[in-house]
Amino acid sequence: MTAHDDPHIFILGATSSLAMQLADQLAAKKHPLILYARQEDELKRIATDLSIRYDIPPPRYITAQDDHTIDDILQSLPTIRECYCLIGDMGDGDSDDPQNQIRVITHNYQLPAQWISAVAERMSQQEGGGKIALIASVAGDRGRQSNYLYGSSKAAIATFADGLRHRYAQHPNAHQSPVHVMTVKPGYIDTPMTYNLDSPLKASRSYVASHIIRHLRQNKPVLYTPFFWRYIMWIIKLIPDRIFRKLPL
Amino acid sequence: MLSKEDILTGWGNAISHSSRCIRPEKYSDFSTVTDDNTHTILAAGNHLTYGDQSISLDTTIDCTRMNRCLSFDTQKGILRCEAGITVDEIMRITTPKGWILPTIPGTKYVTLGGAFASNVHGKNAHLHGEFAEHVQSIMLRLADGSLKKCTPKLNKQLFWASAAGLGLTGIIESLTVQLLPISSQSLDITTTLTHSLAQTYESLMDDNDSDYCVAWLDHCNQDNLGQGYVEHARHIAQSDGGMDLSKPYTSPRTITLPTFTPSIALNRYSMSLYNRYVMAKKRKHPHSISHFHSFFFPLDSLHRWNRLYGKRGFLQFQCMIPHSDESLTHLEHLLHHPHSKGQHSFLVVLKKHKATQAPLGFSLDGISLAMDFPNHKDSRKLLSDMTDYIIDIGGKMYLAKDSTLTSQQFEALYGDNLESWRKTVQKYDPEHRFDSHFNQRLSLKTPIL
Repeated sequence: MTAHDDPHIFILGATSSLAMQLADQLAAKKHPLILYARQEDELKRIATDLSIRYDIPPPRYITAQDDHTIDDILQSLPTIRECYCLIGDMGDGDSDDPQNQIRVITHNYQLPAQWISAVAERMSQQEGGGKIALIASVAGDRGRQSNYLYGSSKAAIATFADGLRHRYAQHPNAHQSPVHVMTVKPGYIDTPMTYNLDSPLKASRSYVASHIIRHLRQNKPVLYTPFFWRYIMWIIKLIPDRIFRKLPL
Repeated sequence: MLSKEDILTGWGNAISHSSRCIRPEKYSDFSTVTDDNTHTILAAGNHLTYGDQSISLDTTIDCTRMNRCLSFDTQKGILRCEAGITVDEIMRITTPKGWILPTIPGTKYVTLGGAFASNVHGKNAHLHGEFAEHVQSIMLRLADGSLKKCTPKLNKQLFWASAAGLGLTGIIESLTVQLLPISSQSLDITTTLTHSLAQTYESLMDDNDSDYCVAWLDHCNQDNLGQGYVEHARHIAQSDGGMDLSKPYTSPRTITLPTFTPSIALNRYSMSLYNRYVMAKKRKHPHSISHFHSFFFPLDSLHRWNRLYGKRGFLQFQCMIPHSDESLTHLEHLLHHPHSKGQHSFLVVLKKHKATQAPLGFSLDGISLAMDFPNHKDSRKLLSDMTDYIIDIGGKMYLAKDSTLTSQQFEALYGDNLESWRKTVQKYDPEHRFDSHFNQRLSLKTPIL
């Protein structure tokens, strides 16, 4: 039985497709989990399933509510050893539409940034420190005409996470526990977002989830998953503008 | 939800159609698929029916990600799950707690919803019947968007119409199943090699205390058609050498056939060699205690084995011969007839059954015979002739395996039960919002004029 105040793993955006796979793999190893998302019914469905499937006490879940601040929630939590932040929006709709812009920037940049700052700060004050995986995207590596709203919001949060990692790597002192922040840049994953995309590059959720878990524990700074996206994006970034502008990406 | 156009095919690869596909992951998406009434729809799992049963005329709903466990009473062995969960996942969850599915199909990749919609049977069909006999309730999403609880007593017409109903009554969202208790992960298996059809039949019909029995025949042996082996298996306790329930349930390594093999690779001679190899192995181990996985799912060790038949695919003839004094004669005819047409089946399996309640259900008190043939014009003609023979003797054909039936043959086989089934379906789906290519081919919902 897990004690209530054993170190837990906190999953933000726990109802996203990839998050469900992360929760599945972590629950299989009997890690105590705390799940956070907006849809209470979905959270309950996931928690019940994990407890039956892996014969564990049902993971605790917290539903996002307008009147609860991030600090309120963090104060109610036990020690957090790992945090996986998958808060995000698929970026449907027109990149030029102001309402879409506000929505995407809020969910892909503002909210994740607020969360990982607060979680990192908390981890720095708790014994043993902690690690955070922030899920960005390869789409943030270069703006392109097909999804520049989504891509730019992911570029923003990736740079934020990079900065946070740098901050907590600077001069750790006696009053601060070690905190590691890993920026994750997945390519195409088999989720609802890519359902109608026919590509041999599409990775399974289970592969990407296990890749993220393994490399977070190894303190990797930036993870491209699957690995080959690092090289694909390196080439894409190198393409001069006069050629890139003609590509229908 | 995003949709895509895909070419869908059954396990036999003999029939394929293009279909619009969607794949819900959250319950909020899944429970509202009927809202859009501009599309006819059909819920599908892993497309393991052999023909066009799981291909919608318009939109096919991939339910494989709706696979959550909802509750598990480990004292009484009652499990409630969403319809997309597979037999494999269920076995992993229930085995450590001392429970097993009472009806286990030949492959572990079947979804729970698919098991009910095809009303699958296992190697214990003579004792425990078909899958629906063990289902306490289903939650069915109807054409009008309402969710109905159906049990063998509540809304029972709809319950039994949905069992073996191949998705044509609605979308099965979740099911509650009564499991069977077990005390170890092992079976005690006795294998008897047989040298004639009469001997095989007698061994199969032997009324011993086995929990499961099945007969395999070598149809590629020109000289002796009834030669093969019969396996009888029973659950054993840990104290008798059975594997501890708490040991991790690990399935054996599987090899996946990555691509279609040239169809010429699988022929009478290569299968004859393979059959001889298998029989030699069985001769060496007439008695064994093994993990139940290899007994229940022998074909799953070669993932995508259907690709051995090449791109043309294959057809399965699975029929039910009602018990009578003539049973052996009928079996002999069905085994000899393909040979007389120069054809050989690469898989021949016999099982015992007891009658089912489902109107479109396959089982009678009798014996089922399953045979696989490569798909071509001659084998299609052969299957048609053999089906006519089954119609003449008052038998049944298993709809979930079918790729060749005509609507006339279907009426002749299931005619007695069709009026009540059609009335139930007409009441709950008057506009035929749930439709499949299978329904179009056999005209299940509407009588042919």
